[in-house]
Amino acid sequence: MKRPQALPRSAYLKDMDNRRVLRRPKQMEAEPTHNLPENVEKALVELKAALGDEWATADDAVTCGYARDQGFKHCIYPDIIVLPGSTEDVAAVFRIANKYLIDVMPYGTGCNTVGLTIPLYGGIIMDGRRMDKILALDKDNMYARVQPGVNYCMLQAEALKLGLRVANPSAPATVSVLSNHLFCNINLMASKFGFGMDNVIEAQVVLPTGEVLEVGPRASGMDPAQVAGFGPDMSNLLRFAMGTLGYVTEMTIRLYSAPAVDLEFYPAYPDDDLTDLIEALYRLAHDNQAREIAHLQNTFYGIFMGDNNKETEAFVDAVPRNNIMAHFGGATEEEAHIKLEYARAQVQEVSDKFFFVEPEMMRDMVGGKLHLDRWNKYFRETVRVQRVRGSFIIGALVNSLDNFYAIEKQMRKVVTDQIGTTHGIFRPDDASAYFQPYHMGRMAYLEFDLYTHQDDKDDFLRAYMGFFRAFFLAQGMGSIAAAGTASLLKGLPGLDLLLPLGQPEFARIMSLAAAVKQTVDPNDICNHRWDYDTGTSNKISMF
Amino acid sequence: MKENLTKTRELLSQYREDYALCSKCKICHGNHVQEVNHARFFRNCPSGSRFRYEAYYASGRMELARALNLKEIEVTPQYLHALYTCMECGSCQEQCYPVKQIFPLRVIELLREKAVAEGWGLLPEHAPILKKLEESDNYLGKPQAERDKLIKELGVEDASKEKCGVLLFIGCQYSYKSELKKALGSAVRLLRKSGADVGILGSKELCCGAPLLELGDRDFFEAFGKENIERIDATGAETVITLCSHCASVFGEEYAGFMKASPVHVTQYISEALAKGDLKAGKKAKGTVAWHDPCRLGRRLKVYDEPRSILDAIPGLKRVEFERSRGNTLCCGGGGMAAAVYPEFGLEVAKERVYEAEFVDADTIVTACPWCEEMLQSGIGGRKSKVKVENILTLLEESVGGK
Repeated sequence: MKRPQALPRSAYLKDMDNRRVLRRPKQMEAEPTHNLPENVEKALVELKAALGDEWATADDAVTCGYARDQGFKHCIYPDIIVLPGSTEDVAAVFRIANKYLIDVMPYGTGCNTVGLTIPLYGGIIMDGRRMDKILALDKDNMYARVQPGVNYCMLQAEALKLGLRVANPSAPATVSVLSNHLFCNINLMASKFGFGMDNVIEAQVVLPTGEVLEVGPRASGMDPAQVAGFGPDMSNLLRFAMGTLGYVTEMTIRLYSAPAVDLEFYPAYPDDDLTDLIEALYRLAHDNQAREIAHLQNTFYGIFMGDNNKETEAFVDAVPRNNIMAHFGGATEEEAHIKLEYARAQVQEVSDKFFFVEPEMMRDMVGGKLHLDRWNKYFRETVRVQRVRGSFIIGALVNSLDNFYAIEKQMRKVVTDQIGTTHGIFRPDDASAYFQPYHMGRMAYLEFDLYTHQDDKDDFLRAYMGFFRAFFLAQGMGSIAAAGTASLLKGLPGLDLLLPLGQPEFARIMSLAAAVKQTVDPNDICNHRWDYDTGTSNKISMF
Repeated sequence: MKENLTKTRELLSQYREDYALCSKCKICHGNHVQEVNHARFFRNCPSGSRFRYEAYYASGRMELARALNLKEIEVTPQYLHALYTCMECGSCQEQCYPVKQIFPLRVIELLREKAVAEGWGLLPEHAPILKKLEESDNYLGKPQAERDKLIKELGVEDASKEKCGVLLFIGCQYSYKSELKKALGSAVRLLRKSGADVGILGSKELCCGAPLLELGDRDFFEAFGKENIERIDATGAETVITLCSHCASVFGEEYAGFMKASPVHVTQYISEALAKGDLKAGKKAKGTVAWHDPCRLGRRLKVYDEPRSILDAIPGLKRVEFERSRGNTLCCGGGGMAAAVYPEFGLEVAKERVYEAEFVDADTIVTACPWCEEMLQSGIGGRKSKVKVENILTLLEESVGGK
């Protein structure tokens, strides 16, 4: 069989190739001292020697994969990608970066959605996916020690074998446990266990100078199960530091027991009014019988439950507007049942308009197409946030339950004026809330999901404006920005400049943080992007 | 070729929204998380798990397409390495499509087609493959005349001369490789036992073109497609049975609709015969087997249950599942023509699959794809494992009895 010759390319196309002008997005500071091209070249040679030829590259075919994420930040190519395999490798990268003044951007598994790992002026991206070992799993003391490349799915699978589980974040199961725990995170249904950063016991961090620092119990030669020894515990400095203080190569986190028996109930009502629901939720949280507890409006619920858009739509249509999902664990069926019945009485006492969607009823409602067992596994054990294309989030920590109703109502009003979808899944009035009490009811986390199509410029603008209005309204009514909100602000071009307006203490906190950073990172190479961005915000707040 | 002889041609640019909207959630890197029970078996992208850089996962290959389209980068040797180390197993699409409605596998396939069409694709190592196909009309570069001997050896009809009920499309590997002849014999005998009037094309059977599709040479593939379809149509057969899973996917996805006969994979045909009672497995078998879902048979054609029903019909046989099975199956290492260029990489993937068989305590891996059989056999050698590889048809024939 004769191989057909490729069709001759048109003169026009040939000409295009000849005149091909590469536009590799890249930017430099006005008077650059970091990431100078000649230094990048020298650094690459040394990095290859230190890590092995295969694990450091400046090839565009590789760097292009790190130049964008799904956020709105514009594309910028890093100069070099490295894949360290050990703490020693990480230290070597920092030493070389210091020698040649190359910025280093820490990178876990790369699930960032708001441009936080895109280097502003190039430099090195330190990808943690080669360090993917679960170093320890202690059943008796319920902790795990992990490297940056371990994701929630991997850790959860191993923890469950020992009857333990990880408090999951509301993020895809593919995100790095280490970086997500450090970056605050909002745990799934279980905010009563605290946020991710509340579950960090200790960490090993390679400082930007290349020194290795242990924080937490290990720093004083203790076991992770023990209380940290004498002297200040530096762990908190790393939390929400966004990789500015170094690269965390190992981290020990708390695990929780996975009960032998798990029962769940679904109190719900169709009214679009949260008053009774919040009261019921508060009581359930306060009694602390439920292992997992959250409120989900139907559209939000659908995103979690559906395996695809079709299932999501079926689910959204089938379930009532406001739903509580609560799980009760026990060593025996009887124990879990007693907890559940007690909780049911609590909810009924709040209002008789609640009805309880039994698991069988739930199956019937959705026509048997969805797998309830799988959903429950999801809520109990694993995470798979199935956000439909282009969903958009506003998160807020409500500082007092008394403020919740007004904030929710007003936020909804302003965002539904602005936000909708042109993509066919959700109606414009479907801005949907998701609320969970934090630490047994002392605080609430409210998340709004707004459905947009990110590729649609109109939707982008509406999202932008809706977010803007809702955020400042919530701030004015007693909410503080959750970490996710802050990062989202950073993801929307220009809005990060407004951070100091939303957080009055911002400038002072950032000055202190900058002083700490100066100590551990004298050449200012580690996560330079955060430094540039917040530096600008800081200047604005001085006025 | 100018005509669209098989399925409608698509261009990479038609998938622009797919690669532009990839949100880098990284679910393409592994398996469905609710079906993962061990950390090691989360990973399912062969090239990403080995080379680790973003460009070696589907999420990064989407960026390869986008960056090229936006003229941000030139094609470099590493670009080609990232492109041709993909095994096109489709694990990424299995995870991504239901959630995001994005087709990462299709983007990769079309990127390879673009590479060939524009002349910057294919590696020097691919040249011998094309040469063999050009000179011999089969993937192995063997004389076509040897295929005529099979008519006598197998005692089947020459479908190019006599009308037959079902046409067995043997495929290059089963036609020439001596170690696979046993499975071919079993296939013919089982089909006969089930009452089928079997014919083959002999030397008139050409390569189905699967290797060309995998390399992205659609023009050359269509040349084979056109010829095969004409020859199959000329036999007047109503059913074409394929033995190889790569042939099956080409027939199912490309030829179907352009030829008169209906394509079916041999496991589908045999499982139906067992269900109808045309075949009966009576002799007890021993051992614990795990069915390895070939990517092209499973993820592409959704043939998951039929082979399992065949194994379940064999009395005494204990069947276990791989941790990564059905839609989550791990490639054997032989997909996407990657092992032809990077044999060590292919071997690593095969060894991982053999490890998984040991992990689930299977003593035999059963499959129905010559590429899988070959790769897994090398994986067993590489691990010095005691696990065996068997073709499903030979296993069934031992139980059905009679030669």
